[in-house]
This record gives sequence, C-alpha cells and structure tokens, in this order.
Amino acid sequence: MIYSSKHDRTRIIPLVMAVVGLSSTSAYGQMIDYGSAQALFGEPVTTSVTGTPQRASDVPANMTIITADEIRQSGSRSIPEILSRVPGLDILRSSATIYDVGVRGYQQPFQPRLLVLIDGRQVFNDDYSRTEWNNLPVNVDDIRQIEVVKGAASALFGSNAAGGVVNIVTYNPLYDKSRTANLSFGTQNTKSGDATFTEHLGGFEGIKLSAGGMGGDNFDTPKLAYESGFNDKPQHQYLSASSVSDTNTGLKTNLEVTYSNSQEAGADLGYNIQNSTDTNYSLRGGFSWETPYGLIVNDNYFNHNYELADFVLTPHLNSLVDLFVSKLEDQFRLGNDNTFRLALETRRKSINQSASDNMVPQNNEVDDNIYAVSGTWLWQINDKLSWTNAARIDHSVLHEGGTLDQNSVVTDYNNSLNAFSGNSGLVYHATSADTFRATIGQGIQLPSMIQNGVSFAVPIIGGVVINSEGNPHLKPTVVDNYELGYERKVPDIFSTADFSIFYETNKDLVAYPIVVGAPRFINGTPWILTQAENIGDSHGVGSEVELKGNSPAGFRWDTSYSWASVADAATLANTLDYKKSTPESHFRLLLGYTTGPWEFDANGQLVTSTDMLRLLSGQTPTGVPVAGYTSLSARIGYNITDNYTIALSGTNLTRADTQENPYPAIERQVFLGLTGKF
Amino acid sequence: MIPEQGYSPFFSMRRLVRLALPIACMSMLLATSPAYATDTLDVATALKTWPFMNNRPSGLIVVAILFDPANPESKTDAESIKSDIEKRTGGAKYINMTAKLVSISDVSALAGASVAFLAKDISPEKFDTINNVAIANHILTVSADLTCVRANKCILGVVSKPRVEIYYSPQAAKAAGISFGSTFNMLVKQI
Repeated sequence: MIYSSKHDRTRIIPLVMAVVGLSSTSAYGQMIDYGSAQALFGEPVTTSVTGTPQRASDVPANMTIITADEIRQSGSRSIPEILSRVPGLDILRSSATIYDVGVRGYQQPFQPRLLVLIDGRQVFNDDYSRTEWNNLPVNVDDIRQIEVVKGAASALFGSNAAGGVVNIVTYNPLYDKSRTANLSFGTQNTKSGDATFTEHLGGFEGIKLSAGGMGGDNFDTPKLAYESGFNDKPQHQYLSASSVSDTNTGLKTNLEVTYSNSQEAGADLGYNIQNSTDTNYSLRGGFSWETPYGLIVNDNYFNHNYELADFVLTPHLNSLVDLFVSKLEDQFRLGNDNTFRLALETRRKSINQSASDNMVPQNNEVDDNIYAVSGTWLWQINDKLSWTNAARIDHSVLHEGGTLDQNSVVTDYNNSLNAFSGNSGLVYHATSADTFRATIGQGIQLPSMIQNGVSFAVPIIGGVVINSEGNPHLKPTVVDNYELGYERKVPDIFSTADFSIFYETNKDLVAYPIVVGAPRFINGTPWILTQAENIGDSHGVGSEVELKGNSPAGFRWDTSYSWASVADAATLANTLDYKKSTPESHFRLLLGYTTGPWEFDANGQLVTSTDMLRLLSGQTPTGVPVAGYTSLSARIGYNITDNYTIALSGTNLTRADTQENPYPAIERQVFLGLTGKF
Repeated sequence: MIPEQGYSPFFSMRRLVRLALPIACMSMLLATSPAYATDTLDVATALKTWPFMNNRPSGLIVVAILFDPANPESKTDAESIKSDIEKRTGGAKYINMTAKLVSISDVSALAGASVAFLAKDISPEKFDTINNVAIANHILTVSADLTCVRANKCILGVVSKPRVEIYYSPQAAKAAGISFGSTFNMLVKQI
C-alpha cells in the first residue's frame, strides 16, 4: 500500500481506497430486483461488498443483513436503535434524537469511521465526517434491508469506511410496491408521520414519493449547567422523489431528488452538547446498460449540506458542504468462474465557512478533488471456494480558495497525494452447513473537511479568541483488519450460528480540536490555536458469537455476545481514549413470537462499564466512569386487517431513565403507532 | 485374437474388454440411473427464474413437461411437476401459466410452449432432439437433472437442496435465442 504526498515524499503510508472505493458501493444496487433475487435463492442478495450481486452467504466480508420483518419487529422508527441489535455495533445516544454508531469500539461523538449510504448514495457528511442519523431522507417502512459490514474489510467501500459500512436499501419502485403510511404518538410529546407511495407507469417505469417528519421534546434528565439552554424541541422533516425506468433494451435509468431538515441538540466532537440546524439537498441520476462488453453502470450525485451550529462557548458557526460524485464502471464475466468490475471515479467535496455573528470575518473555502481507478476480481475457484481481490489507485488534490484572516497561522492549504490499496477475502463452503471466511482489509479514515482546511476565529467567554485552523498535512488514519469467520447452520434447532475473531490496528489516529502551542497575543487579545493532529496509534482485538433462528411454530430468537479489547498509545488519553470508552462485553437477547394477528418481540441488552470523555468544564475533556447497564425494548403488534397494524412499543422499559454514557440519561420511551399498507 | 504386429502388446483384447466394460457400465448408469426426483422446491425455484429472463413472452405461458412414457416413474414425476405448476406451489402466483405433459416420443408437441421442464429419467440420447426443437421454438429448457445442462442441451439446471443453486448454459441459451439479465448471470453457476 503506497501513499505519496508532494509535501512528504519520504514517508510511505498505505492509503486505502478499497475496491468499490469512495462512495462506490453498488452504483448498480438501486437497479436490481432484490425481491425476486431473494425469493429465488432463499436468502438476501447484496451488491454492497463487491459492487456485483452476491448472495449474503457468499460475501467475502462480515456482513449482517437486517430484513424488513426484523425492522418492523424491533418496534423502532430510529435506524440506530434498529442497528443496536447487531453484535459488534455500539450506540452512543446523547439526546432524544442524536446518535453515534461505532463498530467494535472506537466510539466517539461525530463518529467518523462508519460510512453510511442510502441505496449506495453517501449520506455521511464530509464536514466533520459523521452521520446525522435523525436527518436521513428515508421512511423506515420503505426499507427493504439494512446491510451492515463490520471491520476494515469494509475498506472495499473506500474512505471513512475504516470501521464499517451501513447501506440502507429501500424498495425499488420498478419492481416493488411500497405504499405505506404510519402515524406514531408517544411519550416526550413525540409525534411522527411517514408515508411512501410507489406507482408503476406503463410497465417500464416506477416512481416513488416519500415524506415524513417528527417532533417532540428532548429528554428532561439533568444536563451540565452550561448546557441547559440548548434545544429541547428536536424536529425533523424530509421529502424524497425517485424514478427508475427500464427501456426493455438493456438500459435502465434512475433519477432521485431529496430534501431533509433537522433541528436538534446532542454531543459533538468536543465532548459537549451543541445545537444544530441542518438542511440537506441531493440530486442523483445514472444508468445501467447491458452491453456485449458487460454491464456498464454510471452513477452521479450531488449532496448539499448547510449547517448552523451553536457550541457551548461559541455561538453560530455555519458551514456549507458540497459533494459531487461521478462514477463509471463495467461489470463482466470472463469464462465461467471469473467476474470482474472496473471503475473510474471522480469526487469533489468542498466546504465553506462564513463569518457569522461576532466571529472574526473569514471566508475561506477548501475543496478536495479525488480521481480514482479501481478493480475487483471474484474468482469462483471451485464449487466450494471463492476468492475476491480488489485494488484501487487514488489521486487526491486539496485546494484552498476564498480569503483567510490576516492572522492565520496556516496560509497554504494546497496538498496532493496518491495512493494504491487492495483487499482480499476467501469464502469456503466446506459443507452445505459450514462456511469459513478469511479476510484481510485495509480501511482509511481521511481527515474531515473541517480538520483539513477550515479556518475560523471566534471570541469566547473571557475575551479569548479560539482560532481553529485546518491542517492540510494530516496523515490519513490507516486501519488494518484481519478476521476469521465461521458460520454453521443448525437445522435441528432452525438456527444459524456465527463466530468471528478479529484483530485491528489503527495508525495515525486524528484528534480534533487540539490546542497547539502557546497563545498568540493580537492587539492584546490572546488567540488560542486549535487544529486537528495525528496523535498516535491504537489496536483492538475481539470476537463475536451469535445464534439466530426462527421456528415453524412462530418463535424467533437472536442471542449474541461480543467482546472487544482496545489498547491505545498513551498520547490518546484525554483526546480519544478508545481503550476506556470501549465496553468490553455486550450481551444481546432478542426473542419474538408470532401467533395469528399478534406479534410479540423483546430486545434485552447488557453492556459492561466504560469510562468516556466529557467536557465537564474548562477546555479539556475528562474521563467519566459509566457503570454497566441493562436495557429492554419491546413491541406488541396486532394486525387489525391485512392492511392495518397497530403497535405498542417502547425502549428503556425497565427504569425511568438509564445512564448509558456521560451525556444526559436516556429516558424511557413508549410509542403507539398505526401503520397502513395499501 | 488381435495380431500383435503393428499393435502395442498393451492393447490386447482382454485389456480392451477390461477397460471398456466399466466404461460401458458407467455409461449405462449415467444414462439410466434415477439419481434424482423433481422436488416441489425444484419446481418452485425454476419458476422463480422467470422474472430474470429478458424479453420474456407475455400472456398465457405454456410449460411443457417432458416425460418418458416407457418409464412409469418418469410419468409420475411429470404429473407431480404439472400439479406443482398449476398450484404455483412456492410462489410465482403472478405468472399466467399453464402446464401440459409432452411425451418424448412426440417432442414436436413442444411447439407453442415457452418452457420445457424435463421430468426424471429422460435418456440423454433424447437431449439432442429436445434441444433442436427448443432452439427452433425459442423454448427455455429446465431440468432438476444437471446432466442435461452440463451437456449444454438444457439452458437451466435447478438444485434446491441443501442450498439453491442454478446452473446456466450460455451456449444452450444463445442457441435458443434466450438470455437473462446481468443480475441473474452473476448469481448463477455458468457451465
């Protein structure tokens, strides 16, 4: 793995943009008939791992697929709550609506290591490299499956998939009928409504419209004194429209436009609470074309994000982030046993932060242009054994425009780097009941746009100016993952058992913000410089074991235990401190039963103690012990008719509130929802 | 006795018989052994390949089920397949489909069918004849016996247990003017 930068030619750093590369995943994914494929093979089909369609049991990665039935049975309308059932995932909930999802430890607010996609389109925000889970333009009832890939073998997806990938696959209007409406009311004055409507036009085109929103109160549990004034009325609205056309000549096209807006308060990467108002727009279009030279796929999308944030000590920081992605790929078979995928990709992300309120006037803009070539080779060696390999070359160019304040320390944000990377995975179906996996992967966490290049200065309490400047010479964090997996079907108890062990190294982790040097005095006012810095390495080891099944009598179960142990370099203390913030053990027990029109489901979890960073006062976060805890969520659903279902569901049912982390305790929530399918 | 002059002593008649006999026996076994019976799941799986076929016919789809009239088990298997298709056991209820039995002694009766499903115990000697009619009439040929697809005389071979596998002969498909979409091609095993 080779990286070279024009600013640092002496250092070789592996820089991985794996197979499918940046935002690659399944440009073709939204074009395939998942329903028919799943019906044919009796198991989910995915394009998320290699970009080509594969059966879930054949993918060369540790992948969990959460089905639409499991989403319904969870009783939750929050995607992170649904993800909490997956062994190896840790949920950090800091308010009624703000979540961060970590994979195998390495959890932090503004989680940068999990790439999140909807139908292959990145919804992960490049400003701080994080996902606004409550601002996704998707109706939970419109989700066909959620694909979770754990580990840096997920580097097959490209940057910021260092810990894993979540791809939310919705129903395809060309093949599926998804007409659903839901109204929910609950505690904390929570109200939500969602609706999706699909229609087939003339047999060759399908359209889909989705819209929804929620509002309610934030938790009333104790906050820190200086955080008491933050938004206690979170809300969210979204709208999306899409169409998929099949010309019946081998050419399919797709078009999509989305809008979402949210206002909420929750943890930020300074380990305090921030208010934020986020508005996102996206426009997407592409095609797939069956030719004698293979399947040609083109995908293009533009994401626009505007955020207005209030931090504890600094009011009204706003940022504008744009992302444009264009990819062209060719998938083809050579002979009977070899499938190839070749792709070209260009990606441009830019950020602009402008002066607001009493900030020192600045208007700088940073953009990052990435050009990539990648390839995948899937070799079906024989009926039992397959081997997948991937390689990618990236060229990234960072550039600064706009104006900088005359007092800026960093005056040159221009930088470029080249990278070569690869992945490898073996899948061996030893018998019809036994499958072994061995994967080696390298994932990369690129610095966020804020960390790389945004500069602002803002006076805070006490007359001090915080001068946050980008660091264009940050080294990307490189994550290497080695994993062995074993799956055993146990038909006597209608179950499947899954075992995996992994070892992961993380090099050149980035922490932000870090105070750099002594204060400068400008016109008698102290200016404190903060930047992102590479602060050290960490490694983790762990295992996961799961037994999952369902019986013809209507019972279902999913029990798992995940263990993770992280060791950090001493330099990570008080900045990231993953060792202490990673719960060593996490037990899950999901039980369910369907009888006639009734569905009963319960999800119990036990998480062992941690010690997490929190900004209690001053400038430096400190570790706060968090005791181990248990939680219980449940759902009772009743099908009134074939079309209408009423459900009572709740989270944290065993107590009024639960201290899951150092942020305000999570209150018990109960919802009553009515869902119609037409 | 074969004259030794001009021949290697290795190739004596006795050796030839010893070599030929097991080969002959194996051929007979391959030709006649009832190594499978068409399971209901096989039929259901076969029907589920229909949405992936390019330019598939519309209207009433006729599925012809080929059987060997000289073999009672073959006819029984064919009738079972016909019943499964008519009941849409396992799905594909949305396909407007009907089934009819066709004897291999009258393969020309396949004309008008869109799909030909081979019941058990069809002799490989009949594969060419079936394939020629299928090519002429653009018929999708399917069997739960992989011998036919491996010989490139059937387009699809279907296995449903212990794991669903679809075997696909691009050669047979091309000859019959039939093709499948990319998703299907990447998920099946090609011969």
